Amino acid sequence: MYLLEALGGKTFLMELRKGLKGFTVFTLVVVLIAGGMTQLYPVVQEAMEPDEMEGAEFVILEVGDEGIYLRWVTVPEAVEYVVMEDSHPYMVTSYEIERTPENHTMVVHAEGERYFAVIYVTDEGEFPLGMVSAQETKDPLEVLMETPFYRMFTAGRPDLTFDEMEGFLSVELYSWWILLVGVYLSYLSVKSITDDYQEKRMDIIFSTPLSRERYMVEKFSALGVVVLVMIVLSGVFVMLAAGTVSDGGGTNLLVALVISWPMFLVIIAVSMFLAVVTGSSRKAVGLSFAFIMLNYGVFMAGHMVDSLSVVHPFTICHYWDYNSVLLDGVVYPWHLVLLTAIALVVLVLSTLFFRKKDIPS
Amino acid sequence: MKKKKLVMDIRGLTKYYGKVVGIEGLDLKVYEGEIMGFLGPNGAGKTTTIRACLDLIHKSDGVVNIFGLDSHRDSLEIRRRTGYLPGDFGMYPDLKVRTILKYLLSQNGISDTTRMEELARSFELDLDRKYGELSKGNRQKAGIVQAFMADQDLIMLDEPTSGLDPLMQKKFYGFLREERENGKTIFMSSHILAEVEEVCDRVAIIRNGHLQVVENIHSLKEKMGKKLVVEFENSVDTGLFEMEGVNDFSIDGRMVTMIVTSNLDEVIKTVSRQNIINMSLETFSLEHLFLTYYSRGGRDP
Repeated sequence: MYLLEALGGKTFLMELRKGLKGFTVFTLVVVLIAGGMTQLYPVVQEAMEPDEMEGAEFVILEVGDEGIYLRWVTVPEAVEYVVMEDSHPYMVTSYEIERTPENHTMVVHAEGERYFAVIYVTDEGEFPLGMVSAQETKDPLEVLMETPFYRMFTAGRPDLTFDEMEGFLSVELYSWWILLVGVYLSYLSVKSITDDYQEKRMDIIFSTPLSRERYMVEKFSALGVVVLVMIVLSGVFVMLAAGTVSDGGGTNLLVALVISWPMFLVIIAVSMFLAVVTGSSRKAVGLSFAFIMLNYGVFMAGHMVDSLSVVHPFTICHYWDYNSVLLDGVVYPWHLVLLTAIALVVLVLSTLFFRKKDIPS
Repeated sequence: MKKKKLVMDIRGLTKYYGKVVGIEGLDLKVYEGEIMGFLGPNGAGKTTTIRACLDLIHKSDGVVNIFGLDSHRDSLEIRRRTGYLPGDFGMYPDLKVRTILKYLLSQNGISDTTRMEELARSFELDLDRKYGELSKGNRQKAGIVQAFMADQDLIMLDEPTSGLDPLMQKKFYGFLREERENGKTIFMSSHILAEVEEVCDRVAIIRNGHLQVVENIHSLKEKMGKKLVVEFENSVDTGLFEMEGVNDFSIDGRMVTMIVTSNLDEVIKTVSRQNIINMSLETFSLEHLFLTYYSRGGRDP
């Protein structure tokens, strides 16, 4: 009730007015990054598709017990076919292993990478027909996922794939979201308090009949509304931008961002708490950055190092389960309730501390 | 005679900053419709006293009642009825003064800006300029307007004329007198003796966190006495002036200097029985009084 009353309070409105320029620039930057990332999807998706060899559709390679069986389409004007082999796809150092009038041949097994090219010979000359590789071609994303570092960004979901927009955004946008928004938000939250100290307006503000509780709650509400607006705008922008380059996504892209709001409420509350306790921008900003980095670092490292996975539940990132929305379409309400409760507890603690503290002159 | 209403009642007010004494055992009463000067050098405890009264800092001990309300428990109600100009303050540098003052006014539940506009006009303050663009003097004017715009019963001013030019200071003193006539109570800290002397009814002198004296300015000056310097035609018998009310008697040839604290009529009559070449009678300034207090470590003059 008190929180609802704070929305529209004088300090709430003053906070919005005072920070309007900063909030607008911040929102614009985040929205553009979020939307811009979505627009990169087609390019990245193309880059992630396995490279197809030239003319691969004309040559078929089958691996059998006796050897590698090669066959190719028949070219009517061909008098014979030349099969070349190399250990490299560019075939610069290739050598002839077979010359045959048939449209097939058998090659013995051998170690290492093997690439084959078929050339057909006519009265006019020699022409390339197609290339094929004995190697099993891997999806580049699979190759990335095999590296522990990249696995961090999957948030524990090995089923992620760049075949879908959701998978791409999960890795390239949502896994960075807390840093993208949280760092600047924590700075804003700290400054909303410490600027009043450092610019020496606390005395004047508190010479009015404004309680310290009200002051804290209205500041918290203002920052909460700012970040909610920014999240929703970003979500809508991502959703619309995704619609222009892909069929997937839809409202899940928006919902996955909206459920990050309670996590940012925790960041606001913690930053305000640190600002009140330290009374110094530099210390409070440093400590709140450390709080975010520690949470993010432990969360991410937990997906790389199994032994760290036990500390996951102690990070706020753990309770923003964007992948469950993006990949499964599921929201866990208790995650949101828990984060909101943490934010409110920290806010109450900040207020209690602030009530006991002398306002520095 | 109608008994004056007590507005501020401070008893044993103490504030420690760790082991450092801010103020200790301060007793002070301020009555309705008076301008009380609170005098002391920098660091004496003036600002600490005011800020403790407004609950901006929490007192270590003592009782502060303002309008009969407890300074901590009823802090919001006290602040609703009290205007305050801090000694060192800032506002929002990127916002117009009008926006800031309207915000502060609205915290008091007031939306009518007529008095704010009048005060700004009177003190020649441009409300449509950004606070960050104002000069030191104009910022001080914004602070003054802010302190008085809600038309509250008690105004606490901490070094109010800092940064104002002499003409504006005069205007401000006149404004304070008008406010007093309108029934306002003003508690004003200052280290400028002339300003306290000019506008205050009573003065409290504080030193190293301890209150030295609280007195009506005229009574205080009376207590300090007058300095009588007489040049006689001939040398005089010093025994002539050994009478009640004459202190610090000194003689230099035919020039006699004495401090007269009472019995002035008798002293003048005694002097006039001799042939006089020159004579002067000076009233001590508050500055002299202040320095006397400090040189004597707070003992009565």
